[in-house]
Amino acid sequence: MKKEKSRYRMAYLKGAFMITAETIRKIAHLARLEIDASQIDQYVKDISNILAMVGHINDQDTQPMKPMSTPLTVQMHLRPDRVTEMNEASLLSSLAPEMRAGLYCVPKMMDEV
Amino acid sequence: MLYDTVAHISKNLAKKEYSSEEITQYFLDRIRQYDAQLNSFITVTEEWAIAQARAADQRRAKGESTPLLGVPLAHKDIFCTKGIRTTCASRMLHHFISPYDATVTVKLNEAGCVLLGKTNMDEFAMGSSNENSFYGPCRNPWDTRRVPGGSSGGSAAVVAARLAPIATGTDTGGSVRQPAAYCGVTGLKPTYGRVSRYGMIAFASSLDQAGILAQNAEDCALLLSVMAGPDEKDATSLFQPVPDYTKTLTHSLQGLRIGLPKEYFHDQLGGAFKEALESAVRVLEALGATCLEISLPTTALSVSAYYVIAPAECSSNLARYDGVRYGYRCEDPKDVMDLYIRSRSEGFGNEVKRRILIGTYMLSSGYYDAFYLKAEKVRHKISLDFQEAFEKVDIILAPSTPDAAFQLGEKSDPVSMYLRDIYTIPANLAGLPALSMPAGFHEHLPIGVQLIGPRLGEEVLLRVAHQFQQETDWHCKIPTHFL
Repeated sequence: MKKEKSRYRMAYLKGAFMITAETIRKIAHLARLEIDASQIDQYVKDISNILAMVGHINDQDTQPMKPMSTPLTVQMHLRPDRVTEMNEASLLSSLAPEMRAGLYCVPKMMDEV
Repeated sequence: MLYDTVAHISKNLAKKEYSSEEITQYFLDRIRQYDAQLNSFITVTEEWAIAQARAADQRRAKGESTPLLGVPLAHKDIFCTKGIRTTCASRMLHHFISPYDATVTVKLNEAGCVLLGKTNMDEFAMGSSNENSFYGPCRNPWDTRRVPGGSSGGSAAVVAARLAPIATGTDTGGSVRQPAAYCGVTGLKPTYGRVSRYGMIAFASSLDQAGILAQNAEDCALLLSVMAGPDEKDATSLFQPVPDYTKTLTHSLQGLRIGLPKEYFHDQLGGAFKEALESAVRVLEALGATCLEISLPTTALSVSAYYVIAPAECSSNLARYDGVRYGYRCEDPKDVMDLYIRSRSEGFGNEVKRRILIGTYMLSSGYYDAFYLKAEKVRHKISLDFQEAFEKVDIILAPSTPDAAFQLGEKSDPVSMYLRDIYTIPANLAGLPALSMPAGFHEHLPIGVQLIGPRLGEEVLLRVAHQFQQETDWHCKIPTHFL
């Protein structure tokens, strides 16, 4: 138990969770977002403060605990194998920004051969 | 009509004191008169409402007479409503007309409810003030310079100002209970899984739950009896029978054990809030309940655990918004990456982007164990704390919020905003039912107190709240300006 606490605490104190503008840009790219240059410093400050707040969980000894991903005891309920949903392709495609021949249009992804 | 609760409206419709069309028109007129001051609706469905009201009157003329037939309500703009815009208060869904109804919508439609409109909220349910809305902030009817709370701020404001007799909301970290407290209405978050999440636009899937903002506990019981139940389309919905929650409201509280968590009653809790809780204790003890001190030792970690888990889940849930199949698309994308990045960056507001970034960071390689896995273990501890407490008591009484509604623009620092969720978050982490009810005033602003129950304990929460409301009249107050 002591080992778990000290490992995370040491990492935290060594700045393992420090956020820089470069980190924000990398994480944003992973999330397919772009943060305007004028806002980066504010994001660095806000996210650093949030990480400092949530970092307290690393002070807690949770050694015997299993992770809890849902408050339920999940049981997969089966249902009869019968059709319940109708094909509503035209209704769903009416929501699309751009469709052609029943296909969603996006900018070209592949190079010319 | 102004003072009619849903229970009264239901009786009056049955007695033909007025028709559904008449009561619907009454609320539509009030919305037209007052909503500009509150900005509590994103979409008002005037023609739809009149058509539904007429249909309800016809059903009644043919002999049908169910409790919610012809009763007007408002939906938080997070519930999909077929053929009607569902925006989640985001530019990303500004033009989104849902192709299907949420299960909550279906159930309330089938019960005969009349939809007045879709209420304002924090974007994608992320916020505690309703200031994070693409459509501008909603305002508190008790003081329009102040926030109504969030994220179900519009629904709370609508009920407080009596622009609708009842409204739906959602609660992921307190988003029904906190605005209920700030606006002086009753807010119920059921047990996780009690109400289907199908068609309820996802923020954090292990925390989200549909809830109710109402004038009193009796009205919450009426709506919950219809909303609750298993759903084949939601694998996380509970396949347990739904009782008629109205039948047990008047059962005695004699011998009921009410726990007061010592960690919630600290020196920093303001005088008016302590007094409201102490007064509530006196009322409940006079009704036969016994109050005793309990301990929830991991309370202090609940906000930290939540602000790891919720952003992590939101970063996954909001990945679907890519500008391809529906929702906002940027102009003239030069390639697919540009399409994704600019559609998402332009479509989401700052709070949503902040939480996506936090969640992405915490799930990324090297940090998953330190943050997400750790938070899930802390979550388990919090849940066990409650299990242990409910071996000693039947329900828990606690503050709903550490303070009353603050001024618009006052809380610009995210951390100080997040820390105010300290009393509401634990029930979401543990998946437990909880209810906030009006219990006093601090100067001119409402104060709420919270009841937390064991899993599937909605019946006892509603019973306690109902009987508290028979002895007090905080829940009957309407802001003078809206009389």
